[in-house]
Parts: sequence; C-alpha cells; structure tokens
Amino acid sequence: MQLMRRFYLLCIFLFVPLFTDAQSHIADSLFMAGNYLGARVEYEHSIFSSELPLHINDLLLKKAQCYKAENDFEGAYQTLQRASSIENEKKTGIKILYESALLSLLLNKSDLALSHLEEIKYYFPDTTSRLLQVLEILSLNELHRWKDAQQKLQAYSLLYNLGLDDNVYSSMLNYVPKKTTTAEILSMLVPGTGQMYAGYFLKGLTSTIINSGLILFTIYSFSHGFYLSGAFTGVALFYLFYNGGAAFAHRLTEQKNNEVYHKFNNSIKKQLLEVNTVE
Amino acid sequence: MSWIKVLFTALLGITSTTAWSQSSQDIKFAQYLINKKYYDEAIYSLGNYSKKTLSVNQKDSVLYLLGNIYYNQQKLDSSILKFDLVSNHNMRLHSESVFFSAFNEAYLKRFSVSEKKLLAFQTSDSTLQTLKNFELAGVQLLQRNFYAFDSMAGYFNERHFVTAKQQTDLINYRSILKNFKKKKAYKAGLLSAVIPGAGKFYAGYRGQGFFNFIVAGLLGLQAWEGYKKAGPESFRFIAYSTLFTSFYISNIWGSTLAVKIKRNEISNAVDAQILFAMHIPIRSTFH
Repeated sequence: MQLMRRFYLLCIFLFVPLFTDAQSHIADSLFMAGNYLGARVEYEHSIFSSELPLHINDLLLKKAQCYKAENDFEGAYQTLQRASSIENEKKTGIKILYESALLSLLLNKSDLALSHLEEIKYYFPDTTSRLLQVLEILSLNELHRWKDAQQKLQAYSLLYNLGLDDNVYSSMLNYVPKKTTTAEILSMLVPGTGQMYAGYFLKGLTSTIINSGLILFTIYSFSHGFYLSGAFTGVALFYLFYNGGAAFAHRLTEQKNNEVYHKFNNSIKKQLLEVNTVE
Repeated sequence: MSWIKVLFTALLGITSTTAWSQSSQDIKFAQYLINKKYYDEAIYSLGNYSKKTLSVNQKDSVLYLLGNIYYNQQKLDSSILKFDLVSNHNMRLHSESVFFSAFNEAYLKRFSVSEKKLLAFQTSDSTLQTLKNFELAGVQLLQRNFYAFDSMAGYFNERHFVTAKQQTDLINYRSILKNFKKKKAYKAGLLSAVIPGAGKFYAGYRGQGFFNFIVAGLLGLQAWEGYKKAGPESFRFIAYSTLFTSFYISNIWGSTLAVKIKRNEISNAVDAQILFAMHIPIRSTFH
C-alpha cells in the first residue's frame, strides 16, 4: 500500500513540468547554445500561443535578437515592426524602439533610425540613455546634418564629461561638396578635367589623352582626304568618349564626396566607440 | 489513498488530451509559419514534429506541408520528394500531392515521369478526372505531341469551371505553336552573307539587323576608302578590311545562332504560359 502511494505521488510530481510554460525557457537555452533558428521557432511558438500583447512584444524582441545574431538585420527589423502597444510598457517599448533605430542604421536607413529615436522621445520623454544619444549622433552624421550632429555631440560630451572634440565638425561645416554639374561641364569643355576636378588626376589624364588622340586622328584623316574614316572612326569614337567621359566625371564626383563623408563619419564613430569602451 | 488515485487518473486524462491537442497545435503552428512565409522556421518545426511517433494522417500532413514549403521556395526536387511520400490514407492530401508532384515534374521538363504519375492516379471524382485529363493534355503540349494533345482535348468539357478557361487557353497555345513558322538557320546565314544584318532581321531581331547593316556598311566604306586612297598595302586598308571581314563573318555566324535563340525564346514563352495554365486549375480545385 505504501509502495503504491509512493508510486502515485511520484507520477503526480512528474506531471508538474507539463503544466508550466517551458516554451520560452527552451528558446532561451537554444539561443544560448547558438541554435538561433531553433530559438526563433520556439519564440514564434510562444507568440503563436500567447494572447497578451505585452508578453508578445518581449518575445518579438528576443526573436529579433536571434536574427541579429545570424546577421539578418532585415529579418530582425521586420520582426520588431510586428510589436504593438509599445507605449504601454516602458522597458520593453524603449528596447524595441532602440533596436529598431539601431537596425535601421545598420540597414543604411538613417532617416528611419531618427524617426524611431523620435518615437522614444515622444512615448517616453523622461528617457535618458547614452546609447540613444550615440545613435542619434551617428544617424545625423549619416544624413549629413553636421550642425545638429555637432550640437548633440557637444551636449553628450558635456553631460558625461567625456572631453570629445566637436571642433572636427568645422571641417565638414566648411566643406563644400564637389559639384557633379561642374565636373560634367569641365569635362565637356576640356575632356578629362572633370575627373581631375573630382580628384582623380590619372583617370582624367587618360581621358584627355584618348580624346586628344581621336581629335588628332580626325584632323589627320580629313586633311589627307580620308573623310569616311575621319567621320565614322574619328568623330564617332570621339563622340562616344566625350559623352562617356562627362558622365564618368559626374559619377566620380559623387564617389569622391561619399568618400569624404564616409571618412569623417568613421572618425566620429571611432571617437564615440573609444569613449564608450573606456567608460 | 483514494484521493491520490482520483488525482492520478485526472492527471492521466489531462495529459492524454494535452498530447492529442498538442499534436494538432503543432500542425496548426506549422501552417501559421507557412502563412507568414517563415519557411525555414516551418521546416525546422515540422522536422522536430516528425521525430515524434505520428499516425499515418499526421505523417501525411507533415509531408504535404513540407512539399508545399519547398514548392513555394522553388526547390522543386525536394518538393516532389515530399509530395511523393504522402500516402493515400487521406484522399484529399494525396490527390493534391499527386497533382503538384506531376506539375513539378512537368516544370522540370521530366514529362514522361509527370505523365506516369498522372496516369497512375485513379479517381471516381469527376472534377479530379477532368483535372487529370487537362493536366495530361498540358504535358502533351509541352512535349509538342500535337496528336496526343488533340486526342486528349477531345475529352475537354466546359462543365467544370475550374478548367473551363484554361482548356480554351491550351487550345490557343496549340494553334500558336502549330502556326509558328520554323525559320531556318542556314537561310539566316545566307541572307547575312548577301546583306549583312539581313539574317538577324529574318530571325526576328529587326533592330539588331539594322544596326549590323549600318556598322558593316561603315566599316566596308572605310576599307574601300583606304584601298582607293592609300593602296592595298597601306595600314589603313589592312586595319579596316580586317575589321570589316571579322565583323562580316561573325555576323553570319551570329545570324544562324539568332534563329535558334529566337526559336527557344518563343518556345520558352509558350511553355511558361502552358505551365501557368496548368497550375491555375490545381490551385482552384484544392484551395
């Protein structure tokens, strides 16, 4: 009798795990073990079974972390966009919006990043976080809003007494981007000079030599009575290289400007990273 | 002691019910993932689910869903593999699997396998019989087997709305293919030898033909100018005549290829339309 009693009690004890919500714990374990796909499935299963929107937001956040770990930023961003009623729970709401902003920045959608940061300010006005400020500075940089970015960096540096050098912005505030139309016009006036103006001297020189050679060929052909080859080889090829060179100068100017912006933004990123790592 | 017995029995009952409902939930969850297009997650989930001890019906559901996922991912070989494993325990799933598997085979140009699968499918349902006949006719048309298609088309009827429109479409494609004038590659080559670019024009690439004619003409004129004004041993003449000859010969070769390319282009376009027409009734019948 005693033995039977023990048997029943043991069985009842073993039934207990069946009635606990173990799904998200399994997902967490899978995530920790690096099985991100498995973790995603388990989180989604919890979302599928859950009826509480706030709980769902937590799960979506975790699922987005799985995508992030797999370097699938688009998947992570799209997962976070499924969140609803974020304003009702501060902690999760801020995390979702912060992650959305970060992912937008990683996906080269800086305007979206700023808009998510604005959402944080709107829903949770008393929120102060260093990470949010850093993200805002980086987004403003990507959008070339140098003045705003400088002000934010200044405020950030003062607030945390970081001693960051915001004077570096003066180089960008005074920087006059090279104009694509100027490069095109220059290349039309003297082939190759547009590329040189953009900062690519050798490319410009090559273009000048090719175009000059074609002009010389045309003149030589015409002056020696070879009208057909002068027209259909000399003039025709010159026309192609002349127009192509102007379009190329346009593209190179854009490329040069982007290089300058990229270099500057990287220097700011480096500064912010160093400060935050030290801190 | 009695209350322990009662509690034990109650828990045993609840566990069985939970396990049963869990199983149906798993399938629902997989369907939910498919609807959301989370295919990798659905495959993972179904993979885990299939490790459990399943009934024939449950196994069929898993295989059918996997077949559908691979089909949506355009992994047709994997899709066929799963659809073919669906047993005939559940006629609804089995029928759909057979039709999709046969369609995938046709898409992969394995026409005889597709035909075999359709012929092996036996049904007493008149809609499915009409669909089977229609799909078989489509496979014949894809093989350009007009005689067999005509004989299958003889059984076309408009009583079943799911195939009515597509039957007319198949008949139209049959007449397009029949009326398609088979252009000859050698004829295009000869035409280009007489007038550069004419072969491409004949093949159906009118713009290219005109452009080739202009380029060949200009190169020829410049070679002629070099010959006339600088003599046959001049660099100018040798350079332009070499350019002209290379262009002239490559144009003849290009024209013969153009006929084959155009023929394939038209044939592939019609095949795509036939496959599309074959696909719609399967979808309409089962969804």
